[in-house]
Formats: sequence, structure tokens, C-alpha cells
Amino acid sequence: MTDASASPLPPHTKPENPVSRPPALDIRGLTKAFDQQLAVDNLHLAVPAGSFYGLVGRNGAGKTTTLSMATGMLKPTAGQALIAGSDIWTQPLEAKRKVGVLPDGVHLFQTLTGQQLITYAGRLQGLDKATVAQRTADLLEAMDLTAAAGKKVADYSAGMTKKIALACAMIHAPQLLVLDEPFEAVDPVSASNIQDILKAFVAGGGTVILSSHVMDLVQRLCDHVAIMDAGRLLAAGTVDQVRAGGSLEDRFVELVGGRVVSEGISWLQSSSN
Amino acid sequence: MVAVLLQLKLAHLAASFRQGNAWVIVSLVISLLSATSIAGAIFSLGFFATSNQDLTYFYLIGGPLFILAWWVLALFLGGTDPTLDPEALSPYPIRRRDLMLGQGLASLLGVGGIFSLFTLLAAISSTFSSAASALLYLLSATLALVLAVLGARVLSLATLPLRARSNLKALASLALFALLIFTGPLTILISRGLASIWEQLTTVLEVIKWTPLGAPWGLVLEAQRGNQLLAWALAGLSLAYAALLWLIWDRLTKYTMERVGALIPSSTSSDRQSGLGLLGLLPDGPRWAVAARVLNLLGKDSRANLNIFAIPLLFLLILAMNSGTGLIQVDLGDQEINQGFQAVNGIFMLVGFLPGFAGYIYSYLVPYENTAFSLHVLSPLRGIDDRLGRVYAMCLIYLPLFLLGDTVFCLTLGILPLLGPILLTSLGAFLAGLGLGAWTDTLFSMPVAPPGSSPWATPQYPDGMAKTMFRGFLSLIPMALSLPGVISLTVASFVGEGSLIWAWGGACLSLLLGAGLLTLGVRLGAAHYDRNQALMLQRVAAFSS
Repeated sequence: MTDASASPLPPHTKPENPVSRPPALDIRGLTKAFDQQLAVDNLHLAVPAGSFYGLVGRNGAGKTTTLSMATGMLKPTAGQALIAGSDIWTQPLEAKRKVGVLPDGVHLFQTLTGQQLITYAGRLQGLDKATVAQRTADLLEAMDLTAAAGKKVADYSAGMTKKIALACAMIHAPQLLVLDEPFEAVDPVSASNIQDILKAFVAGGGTVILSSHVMDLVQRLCDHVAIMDAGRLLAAGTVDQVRAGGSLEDRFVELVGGRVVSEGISWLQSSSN
Repeated sequence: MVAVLLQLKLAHLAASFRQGNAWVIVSLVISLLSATSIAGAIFSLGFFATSNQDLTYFYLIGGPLFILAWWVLALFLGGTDPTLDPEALSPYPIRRRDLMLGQGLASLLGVGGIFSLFTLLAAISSTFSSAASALLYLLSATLALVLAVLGARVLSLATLPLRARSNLKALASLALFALLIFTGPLTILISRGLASIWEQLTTVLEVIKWTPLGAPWGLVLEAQRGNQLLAWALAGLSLAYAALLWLIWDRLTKYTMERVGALIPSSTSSDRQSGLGLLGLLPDGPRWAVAARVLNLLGKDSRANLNIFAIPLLFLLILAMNSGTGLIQVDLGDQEINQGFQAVNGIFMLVGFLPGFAGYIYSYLVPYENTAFSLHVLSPLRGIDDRLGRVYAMCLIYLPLFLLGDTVFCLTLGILPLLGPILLTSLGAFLAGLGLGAWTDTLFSMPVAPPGSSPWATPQYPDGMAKTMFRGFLSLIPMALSLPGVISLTVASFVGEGSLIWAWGGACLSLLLGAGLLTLGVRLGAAHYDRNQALMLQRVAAFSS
């Protein structure tokens, strides 16, 4: 890798007219019911190609369910998800070549080393040995994992696990990266490095969708944002449109509600009792 | 606090019943029936043990075995139930004494505890001659239970640093597995050993009486012999052993709670690997990548590699079963051994059961992967590549084992002319097992312990037993397809080499049937994988919770 701050992925050529490209992700009426309970309710969302899109919501808002349905991990009860024009459920092979996914809370193949895991992810994408070897080395360096390349994934810390999973999502240079809580448990230095990589990826024409609880991060990193609650979309657009002059956090609290104003818990005021 | 800990354990136990599935109840009923039948056998033995000699054998063989069972199981299964793990509870202000009392009593809650209480209560039949003896028996049984629990806790904590080392943990799993497989032959060997030293046995038992394994049982025995003073001396000795074990347990608990997290294994330079391993050796392409990765799982995951280790062990077991009674007493020139092998049962086990069982292990591969399988789901991987990649891995690891095992078997028993048909029939049953696994795996998932946990951890899934029973039924299919080979081999071994042509014919037919089922299973499995891989992922994801 020649430039540590640049994307380890082959550069995308930013198109002259981004409007002519289909949405990187087009969600049409996605619905998911678990035992008659709606987790996601008729969700429509178009993520413009070349955007850095934040998806925010409280715990249980339906973010992970939505992203799982949009990437082929969870069958929707109804609706469609198109990745750069390819339906993930009716044209799965075509759609999956265009997307890289970092799911939240899944196991990795723990008996593989970090290097073997990235290589495996690349081979599953149909890449040849030489390409996979080159990209694996670049990704390990970009993620600051070169020294741990020969260590089993089972022995990785939470942050290292997140980074190696992110590398797996990037190995095939997808058009769209879907990242569920990508910075959770990642140390600040690694987080900054990853953010640089993602910014360079977007600058090169790629699209990133990330879900997060951290409003400040989304406001700083993303140019678009969608707010979800109880399986529904409350607001979506550019960050400036959604926050409407205020901070994203204030706008989020205003839309979602549930803020409890209190003077604290009386018995917690003093540790002497 | 002790009550709180017990409530926690009970709540954990009760949670498995609250999932509204009848199979949990069925499992419990079957466990209780097993416990009752064993307790019934003990009751009968105790009832008919009337002479001094009988009582000596009853108390000083059965009693120490009871305590030893607790201790040995703690060595192998320690850590499989983390409900009251001292490491997990260390952040809470719980007094060590309370924690230990809670843990000790909680170890009696559950199948093991119920089973122990049943068997101990059943053995009271040995004291029906007098009420005083019965009362003393209750004291003995209580002391025995205390020593069993305390010893188990001490061994479990003392071996914690060893179990934290993955290599030793895997070795212990394999040892337990071997022990389970060879239970039958070992029981025969032990019985023979006891028979050969029967004259000296009483002397040995009189020594065992003074050890922690035998002291509480010596108490009731000596009381029944009329040696009251000796009986109370043994009671005192039992209490002293219990106090010593409590003291050691206390020290070990303190040591463990002061070093929370220190026992998590850290990788050493020897754990690190350079290069791509099998991913670098096998050909390019997704199919071979899947094969390489599955071979890695089968070789390195302690839950999965038990299935590989089972094959040579089962070969040995079949050899033992077909070479007279006892373990590996093979004599090349022994005509009786050849006759033993000629039993239909032996041939069926060799060419039907063993390879069919091995092939159907395919159905456990995705469940072992758990949510790591999401990498397959998220990739543009065709169903046929996933299914065949796994077939390649299974063939690469199991076929050499069968080639070697069958050859050694035929050489050992002097039936080399039958090697060809035996290999073909085995291959047929193995391929049939693979085909069946490749298809059924896409329809339902076998419950297994999640990644990183002990292979002996009990998966808490409401329909686990139903699936296991259904799996047992399905695994009869590859065995049934091996029948042409089994029958023709049986005929050949009875009639002699003149009927070898029939053996070859039957074996070829079994191979064709196996290959047919493999083709069908892989195709159906691939098609179903393409349509339902997300459902497969959701099913195995449930095994994480």
C-alpha cells in the first residue's frame, strides 16, 4: 500500500453526473414481522450513490433488521431492496457482488488467522489468488493488523475483530459498504484510520451506509442521514436538511421523544447511604 | 445470599422449560426414567446383599465409584455450566463462604443432582435389616455426597488454568470421548480384572475404606459388622477429609476471584501461523476455498474434531467387538476371530454404520459455524459451490481414514480378499451420508454448542431432542443403502472366496446407490441453499442465544 490515508480499494471513478446513477440502495416497502409484531413497517428509503449515509435510531428501532433485509441476511415479510439496481432477493449473486457488509454481533471463523479470514472472504467473492493476496496485505496494513495477521481470530480483541470484519467487507472493492455499528469497541486511533479510509472510498465514488448511536459521529462523517424509530422512518435527507439548523442530537430527541427530564435519582446522590 | 444463588440456578433451570416445547418435558421424562431404572437396579442389589461379603462389595465398590464419577466428570465437564462461575460473580459483594455454599448446593440442582439423589436413596435398601442401620446409612450417604461435591469443586477449580489452554482442553475432550466410546469394552476389562483379583479384592477394599472415596461407606459397613468404634472413627475421618477439601476449595476460590480474566488464554508465538495454510495449498476458486476452510474447522475446532477422532476409535471398537470379547485381543491365526467377524452385525457396523455416520456429520457443519456462516450468505457464493466445497473437505479428511481403517481391519482379521468390496460398500454409505447431510442441512439445523464453548456444553434448545431423534431416523437411510454390500459380504464371508463375485456385485450396487444419493442430495441442497440461505443463517443464529 502506498498511501496509508487512502482507500486500500481500487479507486472508483467519480461519475460526471451522479444523478444518472441508480440509488446505491433502494429500499421499497420493506416490512418484517416477528410473531405478528412489526419490527420494520413498510420502509422506503433511497440512498444516493456516492453518499455517506448515516442510519440512526434507538435500540430496537429496526436499524439492524432493515440492514439485514437489505443485504440478504434476513428474508423480509414484504418489500424489495435493490443494490445499484439489482434486487438482493431475486438477483442475489449480482447484488452481492456490489455490496460489502459489516454485520453487527456475528461470529467470525475463529479458527482462521486474520490473514486467512480476509483471504477466504476474497476467494468467496471469486477473486483470483494474486488479487486476493495483494488486497489482503493492503487491508491488513490499513487496519493496522499486519503484526496480528498470523494470529487466530479467536484471540483478537473486540476492536481487532471489528477491523478484520471490516476488511472482509472491503476485499472485493464493492460499490456500497453497509456497516452496522462499525466503530463500536474500536480504539480512537483505529477509528480515525478507518474513517479516513471510508472518506476516501466515498470520494472515489463509493457509497457508505453506517448505523450508529453516536449522533456526533454521524453529523461529522455523513452527508445524509435517516432517523428510524419503532420500525418506521421519521426523517431522511441531507444532514443539514434533517437537523434543520440545530444539532442532529437535538433533532433526534425531538423526533423520537422519550427524553426524561429529572433532577436525578435521590438515593444515588450520596454514596454514604 | 446462598438462597439468592440457588434461586439464580433454579431460574436458569426453569428457563429451559418456559419455551413452550413439549420436547423439553420429554427429555426430562426420559432422564428421570433412566435415573429410576438405574436406581431400581441399585435397590435390588442392595436388597439382596445380605452377607458381610456382599455388603463389603456393595458399599466399597459402588460407593467409591459414585464419588469417583463426580470427580472425573468435574475434571472433564468443569466450566460447562457457567451459571455460578466465580469469575462471573466476582464483581458482586458476595462473601466467599456464601458463594461456595451456593455453588455446592446448586451443583445438586439439575440432572446430575437428581440422578445422585435417586441412586443414593435407592441404596438404602441395603439397610432394611434395622432402623439404626438405615439412619447410619443416611449419614454415610450425606457424607459421601458432601465429599463428592467438594472434591468435584476442588478438581474443577484446580484444573481451570489447564482447561483455559485450548490444546489441553481439546485433549481432555478427546479423552472423555474415548472413555465414552470404550465404556463397554472397559467395563468388560474391569470386570475381568476384578474377577482375576477376586481373592485379594477384600484386602484392597479394606484399604479403600480409609481413603476419601471409601471412608463414608466404611462407616455404614463397619456399623453393620458391629464395629461401632471403627464406624465412628471413619465418620470422623470423612469429616476431616471434607474439612480439608473445603479448605482447599476456599483457597482456590480466593485465588480465582483475585485473578479474574488472567486465565483467558493469550496467544503465544507458537499459536501464530504464517501463510494461508490450506487456503494456499488447495486450488483457486470459491468451491476449494470452502473446502479448505471446512478442513480448518474440522481440524481445529474442538467441537468438530471429535467427529474425526471418533472414526479410528470406532474402528477399534468394531475390531474389539469382532475379535471375541474384550479389547483388541486379535490373533491372526485364530479361526474363532474370523467366525466372529462373519457375524452380520460386524460387517454392518464396518461398512454401513461407521461410514454412514461419518458422512452425515456434514449436517453439523453449518451449525458449528454458527453466525460466521453469514460470510457465505453475504457473498455471491452459489449453492452448488457451498455444498460441493463441504463435500470435498469431508472426502479429503474421511476417505483416507476409511482406506486405512478398512485395510488394517482386513489385514488384522486375515480377510484381505474382501478388502475391495468392503471399501466400495463403505464408500457408498459415506457418499449417501454426505448426500443426505447436504440436503437436510438446508431444511433444518442440528443444535450444537456455539463457537468457543466446550463440546460438552448442553445446548438449550427446545426442539433439540426432536431434531436429534429425527436425525437418528434419517441416518438409517445411508445404512439401508449399504445393505446390498452388507448382505453380499456376509454371504461371501460365510461361503468363502468362491462367492467373491457376489461381494463385488453387492458392493458396486451400494456404491451406485450412494453416489446417486450424493448427486441428488447435493443438487437439492444447492437449490434449497440458493433460495433459503438467509433462513439457514437465522436458524443457526438462534444457537448463539
